[in-house]
Amino acid sequence: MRASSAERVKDVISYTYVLLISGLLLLPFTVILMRSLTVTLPDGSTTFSIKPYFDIIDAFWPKVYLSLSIAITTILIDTAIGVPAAYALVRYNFRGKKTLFTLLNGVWYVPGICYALSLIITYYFLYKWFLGYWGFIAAYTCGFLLLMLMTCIVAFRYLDPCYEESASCLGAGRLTTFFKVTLPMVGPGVSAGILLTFVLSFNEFITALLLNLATRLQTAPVRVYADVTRARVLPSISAEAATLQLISLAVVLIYLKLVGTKYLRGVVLI
Amino acid sequence: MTRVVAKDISKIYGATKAVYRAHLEAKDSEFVTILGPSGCGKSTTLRIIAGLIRADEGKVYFDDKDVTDLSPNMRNIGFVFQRVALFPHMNVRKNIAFGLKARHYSNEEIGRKTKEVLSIVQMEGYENRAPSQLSGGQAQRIEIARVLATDPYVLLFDEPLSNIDAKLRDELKFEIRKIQRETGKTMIYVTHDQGEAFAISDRIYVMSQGIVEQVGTPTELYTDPSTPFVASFIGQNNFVTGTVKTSDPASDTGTILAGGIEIHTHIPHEHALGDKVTACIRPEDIEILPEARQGSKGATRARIVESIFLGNTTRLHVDANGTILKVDLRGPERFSYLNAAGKDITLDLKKCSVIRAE
Amino acid sequence: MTINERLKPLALLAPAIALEVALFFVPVSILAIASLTWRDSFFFTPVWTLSNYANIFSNAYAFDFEVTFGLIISAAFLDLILGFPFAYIMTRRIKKYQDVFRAIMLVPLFGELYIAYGFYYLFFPGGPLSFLFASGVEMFRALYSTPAAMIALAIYTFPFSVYNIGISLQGIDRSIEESARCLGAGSIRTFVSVTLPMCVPGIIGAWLVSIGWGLGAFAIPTLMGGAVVAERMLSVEVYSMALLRMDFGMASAIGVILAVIAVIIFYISLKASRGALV
Repeated sequence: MRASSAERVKDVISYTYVLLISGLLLLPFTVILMRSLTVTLPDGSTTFSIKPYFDIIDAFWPKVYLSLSIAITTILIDTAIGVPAAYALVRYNFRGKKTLFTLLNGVWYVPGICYALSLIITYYFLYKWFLGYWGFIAAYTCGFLLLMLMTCIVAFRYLDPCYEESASCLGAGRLTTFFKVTLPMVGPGVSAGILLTFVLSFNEFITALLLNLATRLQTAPVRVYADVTRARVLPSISAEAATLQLISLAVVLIYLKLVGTKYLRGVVLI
Repeated sequence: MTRVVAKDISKIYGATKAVYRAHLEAKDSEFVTILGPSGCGKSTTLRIIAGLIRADEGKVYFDDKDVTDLSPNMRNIGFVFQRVALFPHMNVRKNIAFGLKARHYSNEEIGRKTKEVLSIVQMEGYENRAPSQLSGGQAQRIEIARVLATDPYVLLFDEPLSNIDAKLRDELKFEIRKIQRETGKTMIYVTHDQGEAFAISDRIYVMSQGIVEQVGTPTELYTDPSTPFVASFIGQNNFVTGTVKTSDPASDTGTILAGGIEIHTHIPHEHALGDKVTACIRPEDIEILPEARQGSKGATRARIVESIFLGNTTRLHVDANGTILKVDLRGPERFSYLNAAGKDITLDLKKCSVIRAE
Repeated sequence: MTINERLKPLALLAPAIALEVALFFVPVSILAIASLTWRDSFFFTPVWTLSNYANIFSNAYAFDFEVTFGLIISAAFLDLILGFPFAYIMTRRIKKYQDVFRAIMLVPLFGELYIAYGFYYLFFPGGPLSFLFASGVEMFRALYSTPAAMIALAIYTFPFSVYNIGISLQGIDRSIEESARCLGAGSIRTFVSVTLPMCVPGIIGAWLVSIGWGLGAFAIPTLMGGAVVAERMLSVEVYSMALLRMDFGMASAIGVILAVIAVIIFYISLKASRGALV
C-alpha cells in the first residue's frame, strides 16, 4: 500500500503545482476583471457594480465592432489563401519546397514592432492606397497567414491519402474530391487555425498601434492602451480590457465545447 | 469482363527499382493474384494499373485500349485498399452513392444499385449506419459493395484482408472469390499470404524485389518452381546443390550428386551433364522407405537427428551423409517417429524439382 | 513530370506567395533600405549613411542591449524553471481535466497587453500589491519594475516555452526509461541520466523560443518597465525613435537588427528541437 500513497502524494503535488501556475497565468486577467467590477463611491468605499461596462458602451463598442470586423475579414481571406497552399505543401513534392516553407516561416519570427514599422514606411512610400481599413486587412492577412498555414498543414498531414485516392478511383474528379471528401475531413483541423487567428488578430496590438497613426483607425486594443496611458487604472478602462478578454474567452470556450482540444495539439498545445 | 495487360512496367525511385520490367496479364473474368513479401513491388504494380502512380516505363491496356495516361477516375476501376477507406463523414448509403453520383446516375438508379450491391455482399439493411459503427469485416464488405456499384471494368484489391482477424480472413477470402465469380469481373489481387493466394486465385504472379519471378497456377508454382526465390517462398523446401552426374535424354531422368547424396529424379533438358544445379525437395515429399524397398535404386540412408511433434505433422531433422534434410510426416505414420532421435532410416528423394544453381 | 503537374502546386501556392512577397518581403526590404538613411530623409531625398548602424554597435547602445537581453533572458530562464515541471506534469501525470489546463494555457496568447495591464495595476502605486514596494527600502523601489516586468514577460512567453518542452517530452520513448528502471536505476537516477538528457534539445529550443518572443514584447516594457526599462528596451526604442523623435533611419536600423537576431534565434531553436513540419 505504500506504492499507492506515494502515488497519491505525487498526484497532490502535481495538481497543486499546475493549479498554482494556472493561477499565475490567469492572474492578470482576474485582476482586470475584478477591477472592472469595483466602483468607488463618493464616500471612498468600494462596491461591486457592473456600471463600468455600461459606461463604455458609447465610446468603446464601436471599436469592438471594428476589431471584430477586421478579425473576421482576415480569417476569411487567410482561409481562402492558406488551405490551398497547405494542400500544395503537403500533397505535392517539388524542388525548393523546404526553402519556400522556411521563408514563409520567417514572417512569424520577425518581431511585431519591426514588421509594423516596415509596413507604415511602405504604406507611406509605396502602397499609399492602403491607408485605411484595407491597410489593416492587408497587414493582418499577411501577418497571420503562417498560423493558418501551419494548422492546415497539420490537418492535411493527418489526412490519410487513401480517402482521396479512393474517391478518385470511384470516379470523382479533383474538384469533387476536394469539396466532398478532403474539405469535410480536414475542416475540423482548419477550424483550429481559424480560432487561433481570431484570438490573435482580435487582440493584436502592436501593428494596430502603429497603423493607428497612419490610418486614423483605432482598434479596441489600441483604445485600451491609449486610455491606460492617459488615465491609468479606472474601472471603466478595466472594463474595456475585460470586455475584450471576455469575448476572446467566450469564443475559445465555445470552440472547445464544439470541437475540443484535439486539433490544437501539434500547433500550440501539447 | 475486361482483359488487362500491364506491359513492361518499370518504376524507379532514385536508386531503388520498385518495379522493373514487370509484365502482367489478366484475362477476361480471371482471378489473378500478385504474391510476394513486403517491398517486392506488388502494391506499386497494382497502383500503376489503377493509375494512382505513373510508371516510368511501360504501358497499361484495358482490352486493347491504352489507359496509361488516364487518371484513375477515368479508368472505371474498383480499388479496395488495405485500410478501410469508407468516408467517415458519410453513412453507408452515401458512401455507396458517391461513385454513382460522380458518374451522374439518377437517384432512382442509385437506390436500385445500392440495394443490389448490398445484397451481393450480404449487408442488406445497413444503409443508414455510419462507418464508425461497423466492425472491420463489415466495413470491408461495404467497401466491396461500394466499388461494385459503379460496375467497374476490373477489380483491384490491395491486401484487403491484412487488417482483419485471422478467423474472419478465412471466411472473407472465399466470399471475395464467390463475388468475383458471380459478377464475372476481372480481378487483380495483391497479397503476401501464400495460403490466401492459393485458395482463391486462378493464376499467381510471384514477385520479388520488383521483378516477376514466375507466373503460374497454384499447382504449377508448387510442383515446378523455376527460381530459388519461388522455391523457398512457396511452401517449404530442402535445397541440395550439386552437379548432374548422369542423364538420360530419352526419359528425361538422371542423377545428381550433391553433398554425399545421390538423387535419381526427373531432370529437365536444359541441365546438361556436369551442370551445377539445385534440387528442391519438399519435406512432405520425402518418403521413408519400409524395409522391403530399402535396397531400391535411389534409396538414401540417413540418421534421425531430431524429432519434433507439431500436432498435424511430425518434423524430422535427418542427417544424410553430412547433408541435413527436413522431413515432414503426416497421417498416422507421424506417431511412429515421436522419439526417434538416433534411429537410422532410408529415404526416397525422387520427388524434387531441379533448378539451376545460383 | 509534365508541365501541368509542376504548375498545379505552384498555382495553389501563388496567392500565398504573392501576399507574402508584397506585404512582407517588400516592406522588410524597404525597412532595410530606410535603415541606411539619415533620420527621416528617406521620405524626401534620401541621405545615405551607415551612421545608424555605427551608433548601434557603439557603446551608446551597449546599455540598451544589456537591459533588453537581461530582461528577456532572465524571463526565459524563469519560463524554464516554471515550465519544465508544468510540461512534465501535463504530459505524464495529469489525466483528468487535461483539457481544462490546456485551455488555461491559451489565455496568455490573448495578448501581452492584458498581462501588462493587469500587472501594472497590481504593482503600481495605489494598486493592491504596491504595499510591497512602499516599504521604504530603496532597492525595492528602484527595481520594482524589473522583477515585475520579468514575471509578466515570463507569463507571456510561457505557452510557447511549455509547448516546446512538452513536444520534446512526448517524443521520448518510454520503453527507454523503463529499461533503465529494470536495470536497477531509481526514479531520480532515471530522470537525471536518461530523461533529462533526452529533453535537452527541447529545453534549449524552449529557452530560445522564449527569447525570440520576448524580443517582440512591447506592451509589457512600456507599461511596466519603469523609467529604465521602458526607455531602453530595444523594441520600445523602435517605436519612440520613429514616432516621437521622427528618426526613421535609426528606428529602421534597430528594427533590422532586432529582426535579424529574432530570426536567427528562432531558426536555431527550430533546429534544436528538430521541428521540421514539412
